[in-house]
This record gives sequence, structure tokens and C-alpha cells, in this order.
Amino acid sequence: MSSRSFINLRNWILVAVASVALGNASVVAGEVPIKAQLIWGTDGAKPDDKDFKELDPKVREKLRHLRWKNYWVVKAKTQDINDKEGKKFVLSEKCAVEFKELADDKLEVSLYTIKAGGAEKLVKTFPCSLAALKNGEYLILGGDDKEKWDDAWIVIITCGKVK
Amino acid sequence: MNTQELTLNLQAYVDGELDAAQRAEVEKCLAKDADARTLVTGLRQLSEILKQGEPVAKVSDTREFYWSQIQRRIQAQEKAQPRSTESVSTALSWLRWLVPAVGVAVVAVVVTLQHTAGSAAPAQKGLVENKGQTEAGSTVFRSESEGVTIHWLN
Repeated sequence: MSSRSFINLRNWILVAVASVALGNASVVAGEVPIKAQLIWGTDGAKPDDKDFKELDPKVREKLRHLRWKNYWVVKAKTQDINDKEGKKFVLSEKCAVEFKELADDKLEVSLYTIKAGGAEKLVKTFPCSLAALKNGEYLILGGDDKEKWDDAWIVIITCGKVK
Repeated sequence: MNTQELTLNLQAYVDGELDAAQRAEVEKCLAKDADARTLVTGLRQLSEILKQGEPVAKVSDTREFYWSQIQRRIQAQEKAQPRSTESVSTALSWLRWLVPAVGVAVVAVVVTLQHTAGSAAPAQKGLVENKGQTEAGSTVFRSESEGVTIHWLN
């Protein structure tokens, strides 16, 4: 093999390796695992007929600004989101959250309430920094429970892949 | 300086409430009077015990979030309250102007509709497109040090 064709072959190998590396990098960079937990905040005890888990103490510490004694995990879901399409997490028969990655490492979080018959109604959209979530920050949405006095619903959103 | 006056001065001395001249006078008394020294020692010990035993008042919420919750509840109550008589009389005074204004507006709309009768469909389409979804309000609390942002829906 002449030195010229060897250089050509080497260049082709370098290009191929770089393409594979960049391709993998784009897959890793494009997919972000987002975790959403629906929490029930109450001063009451856990109902016997429900299999709710107690909230992780580390996460509970983040709720120290709230006043309830008990925080039960109703549902937790982790899913990769990517920049191409929004991902909707149905957290209960009455609540869903949609995530959509925006430009500049931003994330749009839309909270939906699910009406009888399955019709969804947008409650509010919360823009947030995806970079902050990746750094371990917590986005917490909450409100007073309309059906049970003095209880609250809380949605805790974190990134499953913290830097 | 009589006994009562001396006792008060000793108390003020321990509490650091005397000026320089009064302090010098009390210290002169203390140098001579063993009972006064004993009293001052007792008062200082008592003060320390009270400081150590004082319960620390802690609330579960941070100050900002606590007040934001109160503000939210006040706003909710204000919305729920019926209109006062003052607001009703204000509304009645507005009606004097509103009724003729509505009449003029109705005439204007009728005239406009007559002129644009052929293009009714695009106008209706525009109304539908402009109908947006009303989003709920929320109170935002952020703690930079803890890395937490809370949106509390009203």
C-alpha cells in the first residue's frame, strides 16, 4: 500500500469514528430522563386501602417550606424526553403533566386536569430551565386539594440524570 | 443611694443600661458592698439561665412562603366576598353612562353587520381563533440555596 492510499484510508477511518461518536453524543444529549412524582400532602394517616409509599426523606427535605405532616407518593414515573416531541405523563385519573424541550436548554411543563370522560384541560404552563434540573434542582407544582379540606396535591419534577 | 435605688441601679448595670458615670458609681458601690456583688452575680446567672432556657420559635414554612400563603388566602377571600353597597352605588352611577353607550354600540354593530353581511364567515373564524385558554394563577417561591422552585396554584 502506498503512503498516499494509507493516508486516505486513515482519513476515512477518522471520519467514520468521528461520525459514530457524534451520532452517539447527539442521542445522549437529546434524551433527558425526567421524573415526575404525584404526592399527596396531608396531616392525616395513610389510607388502609391504598398502597402509597412514604416520600424519600431527601426529597421530603425539599418540601420543608410546606406544612403538611405526611407526604405519600401516589405515582412516580420516569421517562426520557427529547427535543422532537412533547411527552405526556398521566399521573392519576385527574392529573397529567406534559414536558416539551425548548431551545436554549429550556423545558416547558404543562399541567393538565383530566375531566370526566377523559377530556384534558390545560391548567397552567410553567417554563423552567432544563439545565437547572440537570444540575439537581427541583421544580415543584402544587395546590390545595379541592375535594379534601386542608390536604394538598404536589407534583415533584426532577431530572433522573443529574450532573 | 438607698437600698431600693441601689437594687434598681444594679439591675440596670447588669442589663448594660447605665451611662459611663452611673456605671462608675455602681462599680464603686460594688467594690465596697459584698451583698451588692452577690446580687450582681445572681442577676447575671439568672440572665444566662433565661437566655439558655428561652424556647426557639420555629415555623415549618420559610418567612416568604408563609406570607405568600397568607396573601393567597386573603386574595381568595376577597374574591369570594359579595360586593359592598359602596361598589353597588358606584355601579349604578356607571349605569347612567353605560346604558346610552351600549345603545350607541348596538347601533354601530348593526350598521357594521349590514355592511359586512357577505363576509360573515371569516369574521366568525377570527373569533374562534382568538379564543385562548385561561390559565390559573400561581404563587412562586424559589430558594436558590436549596435549588427548589415551588409554583403554588391559587
